[in-house]
Amino acid sequence: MTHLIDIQQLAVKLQNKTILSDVSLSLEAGDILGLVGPSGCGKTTLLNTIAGFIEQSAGKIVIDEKMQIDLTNLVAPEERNVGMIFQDYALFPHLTIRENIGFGLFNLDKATCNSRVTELMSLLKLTELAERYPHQLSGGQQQRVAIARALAPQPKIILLDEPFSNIDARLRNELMIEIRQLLKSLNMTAIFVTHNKDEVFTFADKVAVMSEGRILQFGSPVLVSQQPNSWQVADFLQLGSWIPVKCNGDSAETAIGSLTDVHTENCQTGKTESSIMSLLVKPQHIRIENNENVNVEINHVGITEQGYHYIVSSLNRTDLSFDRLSFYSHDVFQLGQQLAFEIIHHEYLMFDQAPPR
Amino acid sequence: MTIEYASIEQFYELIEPGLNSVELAVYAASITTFFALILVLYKRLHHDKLNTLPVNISGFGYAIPGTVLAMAMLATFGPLDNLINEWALSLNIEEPGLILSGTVFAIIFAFVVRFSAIANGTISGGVEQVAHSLDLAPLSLGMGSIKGIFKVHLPLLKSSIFVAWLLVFVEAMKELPAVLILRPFNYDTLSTQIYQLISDEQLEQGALGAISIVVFGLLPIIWLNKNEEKS
Repeated sequence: MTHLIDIQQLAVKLQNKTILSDVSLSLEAGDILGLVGPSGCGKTTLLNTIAGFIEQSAGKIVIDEKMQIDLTNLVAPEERNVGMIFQDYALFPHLTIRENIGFGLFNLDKATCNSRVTELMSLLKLTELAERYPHQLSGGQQQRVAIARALAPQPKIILLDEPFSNIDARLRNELMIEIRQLLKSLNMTAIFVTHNKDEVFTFADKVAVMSEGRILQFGSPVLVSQQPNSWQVADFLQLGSWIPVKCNGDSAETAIGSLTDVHTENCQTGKTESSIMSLLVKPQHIRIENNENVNVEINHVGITEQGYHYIVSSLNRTDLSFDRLSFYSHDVFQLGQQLAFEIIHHEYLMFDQAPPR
Repeated sequence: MTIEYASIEQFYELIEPGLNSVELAVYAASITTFFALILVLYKRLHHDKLNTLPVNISGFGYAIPGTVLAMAMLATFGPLDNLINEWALSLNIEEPGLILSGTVFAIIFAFVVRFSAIANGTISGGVEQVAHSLDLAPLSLGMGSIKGIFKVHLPLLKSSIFVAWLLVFVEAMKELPAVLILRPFNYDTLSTQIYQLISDEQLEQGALGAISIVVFGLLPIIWLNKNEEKS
């Protein structure tokens, strides 16, 4: 399979500050990649570097195996054939929707340009809005115009900067599915930036979790959420809560009971034996026992679509105690109520370091 | 009172200085606006450390009094004119005369230096209203920066450019000290003519010219205010 975009050891320095370092990833034609990470982790910089708006200071970007962009050949943004959808859509306010979509077709003759614009307008259900101006459109419509405009010059790849952040939460999911289907039908390769993990799971085929200018993990959303390679990845994707755990080879101790058959690599290497690590506990790994051996107390009750949301703290106040373990249940419990928790046996995920609280 | 004293002959006397004033103001406004546009867009679209320098330096002229500026022009253009004439002589070409210090060139140059800050401010205000993503959008659609400026920035800055032009035009119509010092022989503008009449204690005759300046200045301002209300 050929790579449509191949990024190798890309680095970006701005005003002597390293913004991106050692970024490598590759996508095949038709892949949709979600770049996620906390604010300021460099995801928008990576997008702007691929588009050519920011100069790379090291590394290489290869687009469609033909265009090699490196320090000796910094291709100008207008020659990269990379489409961009800006966070604020950047529609030209003085041009109609038809003129906006046709903006990038200035090299084509009028007839070809008109037919392509008409085709895109019907594909994105914009035909009736052709003669309107951007300010007369809703956020969702503006975004569709921005997508049509970016697709018109038939780019190799399109980049989307937080594409759904300005959309009404109610419409967001619908629009995400619609746009994903469109990109898939065109076999268009896309990279989008988001800080919302739900968007990754709905919209992306691949995910790259970034932190401090580096890619921590790159893979399919399912793989990354099942096997996060660091606490930052698990923490950013909010895969569960963290509780302290003391490792003893094959078994481990927590404030709410012992774990057996611990096959976690970290625990078995011996280097961290008997030291305190962090265990990721997903809500589905918690079982409430019907006995008297209470070990946690409820200190927050909330309501969500998955049922009641509870946050509990451990009754045991040793070096393994915890204050924020989250779980969901359809059963009603009272604030301050004490329960007996057990962690169901599963592939335990333990990391040396816990997220700062 | 002005109307009582006014006669048709006086109107005729105003025509030539009036046309000179308008001509100078049109040149000054057009050149100043053109340079302001280039400098402001340079600041906006170039991301090096010194990108604000040209626009900042061009604004300094506003702080210099007209008279001082005029003296500086004379001190610079006089020797330059001499140099040009010496060259012409050495190349056996007819001497061009005082082409820099003895023509309206010096006045227009002084106006451009003096009023750049006004045009810069107005056009900068307009450019700030344009979202930064609109600088990049044409590039992402395969269009080069220069073409992008013509297709996106200029249409969006149309009204700022026009306002800048009008403000400089009005200022140039009123300016006296620089014109008084730099004008060629027998060249009058409305302001210099009023100055002369007033110096000669011919207050009533001077008033007609003064009113014309006020009218020239007011018309664009009224037009601007109307436009602002509309938008």
